[in-house]
Amino acid sequence: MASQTGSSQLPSSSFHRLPTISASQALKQSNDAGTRAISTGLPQLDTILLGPQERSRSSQRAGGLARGQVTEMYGPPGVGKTAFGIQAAASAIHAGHKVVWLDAATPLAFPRLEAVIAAAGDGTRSPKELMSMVHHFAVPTLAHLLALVLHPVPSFPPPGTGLIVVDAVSLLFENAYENDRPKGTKNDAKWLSGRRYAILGELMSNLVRMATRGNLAVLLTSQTSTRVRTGLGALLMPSISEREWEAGVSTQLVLFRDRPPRGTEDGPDAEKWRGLRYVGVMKVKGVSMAVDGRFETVVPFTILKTGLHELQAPESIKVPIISSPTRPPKRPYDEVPDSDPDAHPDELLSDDDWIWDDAEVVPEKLADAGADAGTDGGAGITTDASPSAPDTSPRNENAPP
Amino acid sequence: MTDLLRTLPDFSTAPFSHLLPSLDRTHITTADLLTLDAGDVAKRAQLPPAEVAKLTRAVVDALHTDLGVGDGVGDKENGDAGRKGDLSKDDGFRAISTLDPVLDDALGGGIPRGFVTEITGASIYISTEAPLSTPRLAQILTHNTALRTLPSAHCPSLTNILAIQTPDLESQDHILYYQLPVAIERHSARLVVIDSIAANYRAEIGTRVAGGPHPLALRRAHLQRTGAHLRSLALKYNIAIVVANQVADRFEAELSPRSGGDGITPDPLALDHQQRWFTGWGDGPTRGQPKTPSLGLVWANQIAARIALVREEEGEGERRRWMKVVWAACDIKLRDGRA
Repeated sequence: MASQTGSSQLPSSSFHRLPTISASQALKQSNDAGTRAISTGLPQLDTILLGPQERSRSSQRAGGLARGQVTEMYGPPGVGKTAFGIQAAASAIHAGHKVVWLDAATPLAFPRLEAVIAAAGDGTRSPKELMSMVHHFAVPTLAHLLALVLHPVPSFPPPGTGLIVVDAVSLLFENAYENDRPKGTKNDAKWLSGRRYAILGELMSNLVRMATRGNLAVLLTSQTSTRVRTGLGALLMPSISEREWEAGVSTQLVLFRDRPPRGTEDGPDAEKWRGLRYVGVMKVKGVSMAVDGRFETVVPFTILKTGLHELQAPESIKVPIISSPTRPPKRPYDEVPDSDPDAHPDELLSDDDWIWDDAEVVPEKLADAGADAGTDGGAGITTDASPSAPDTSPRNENAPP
Repeated sequence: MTDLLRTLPDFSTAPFSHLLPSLDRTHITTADLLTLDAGDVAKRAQLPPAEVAKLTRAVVDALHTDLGVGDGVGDKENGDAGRKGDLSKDDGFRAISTLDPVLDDALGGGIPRGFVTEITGASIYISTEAPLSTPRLAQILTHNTALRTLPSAHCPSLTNILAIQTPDLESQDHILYYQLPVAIERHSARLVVIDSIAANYRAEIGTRVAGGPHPLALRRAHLQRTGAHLRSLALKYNIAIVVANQVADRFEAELSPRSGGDGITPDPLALDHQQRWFTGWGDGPTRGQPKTPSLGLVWANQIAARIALVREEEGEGERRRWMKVVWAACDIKLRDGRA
């Protein structure tokens, strides 16, 4: 358990410290039915999440969100991150596990959860009984989440928990380190920046520990921020991209929307295809899914009242590059121009308004995917830079009634 | 620790008042207290470690109680947290009707209480940035078909509507953080409408002060804080918060009916591509200029639901207006809630 007084300021690699068991015990544990993964509700995705080794063994095991590990999922607003979590919760409940749901932002709408749980079941258990397996906590601030995870109480997580969902964990870090307050000296600004990084690492290592000790799956949902790319439009990245954070995430998924593929607009399922989403698989069980810098694995689905619904594409879907969310090389803090002592280096890049006065700050950091996307002949839809920034010159479109 | 009372509004700071100024001065946040060794905090803030440990213990206990896992509370069987205004099943899920059954259905019952919903578009019933149009509101009250069927005793009247003006960001902050909670409690309000959220950002956060933070960083931080505050108000008082937002034109290539060949649009995670879906405009063939709600992705991340008022030119001067549920935390419909 995390010590009451917390640990030192330096990011710890303590998520490698596990209770020791023998190798044969470990093997038995991993083959046990009780460690079966939590289904995502999308059979194709479940199979992919088994990981390359399991798949090659063509085992009969059902895949899904791996227990004992942390899965992160990010995507733009409204894409279905919560819906994904709800589906996983329903799967866990019907497999006999309890679910802990932590709201960092928007409260969970219980009627939705109820509907999906009911749809996934066979009617043998009462809704009340099923819903009682969901333990919901509101964690409105970072401090609340830290109190739960770093200063645990014996009753948390409840015994028999198979899945912990933290919805919109990235929002918690937004407000914990504000950058519009006077920071005093440059050292103070450095301290605050360092603290955010350290706390990210601390939280992640404890989440991993909680997953391992409790043999449960932890699912984190995260929002997106933008990264500027020279010559191309801005790219959506996970809001939390620090190394310490990503290192603890074993499986990373991205959700995004797209137009229906050719051939589906007029078919019987046209309605469903209009609500098309894709799950892009970036990393599975610690192994990046990039092949020559490209991510090739996506699963199409839509969201119904009854939950997630996998869609079968008429022909095999060719995946272009989903630009890798790799970090640009991190500049030492001192190199950030003095005119911006209060700006966290990464945050300047992640603002979605990409018209800058400080042109010099931006170009050096554009490493990564911009180059990748170029090689395959197109960034898809590009727009002109300046006129389309809506916030600098909004035309007030009000017509009086 | 200026964030302590924001995190725990009811925390009694009296026993620790000798510690807080030092902690504040050395930029120790509540999160730091929970992650750093008491000795390290004490060293930085020049305070006795034992006192710091006591404060930490008190904060942890208060947070546990707030969460509903404290010693005195015990773990509730059906998992509802002990926070006020939580969506417990006993209360039932509450929503405020929009007076339009189709839209209500698309939203899962209506504008949900406990959430922040945005309404955005080119034209809304109440004109933006002018004082609340009382004549117009009176008109709606008299003529709306749903309201007309109510017996007069139950009919809403103007007396239950409170209007406050916020001419600039500073007064907006003061009102949102101090006056609004008081007003909500005093009048048992169920709905708060903010019209519009973007208005005050245009003028104020524009110029760059030398040595200060970038104005866009300032704006982002302000938006995030405002979003968090509105969410906490909605949750604490179980009210519906509706935020009106303006739109601006967006210039982009039209998403032609699946000429994109087989497979996925190249560079699918580009902002320009994904925003076709989360702004409410641009995800299909439409006539007329696609729009983008103000305040960008940062604000879009703050809200639980977005309703777009779309206006299309049909040709021959015909105009079609409809409401679209772009996304909603409470319900997902396969089809847009066309009104």
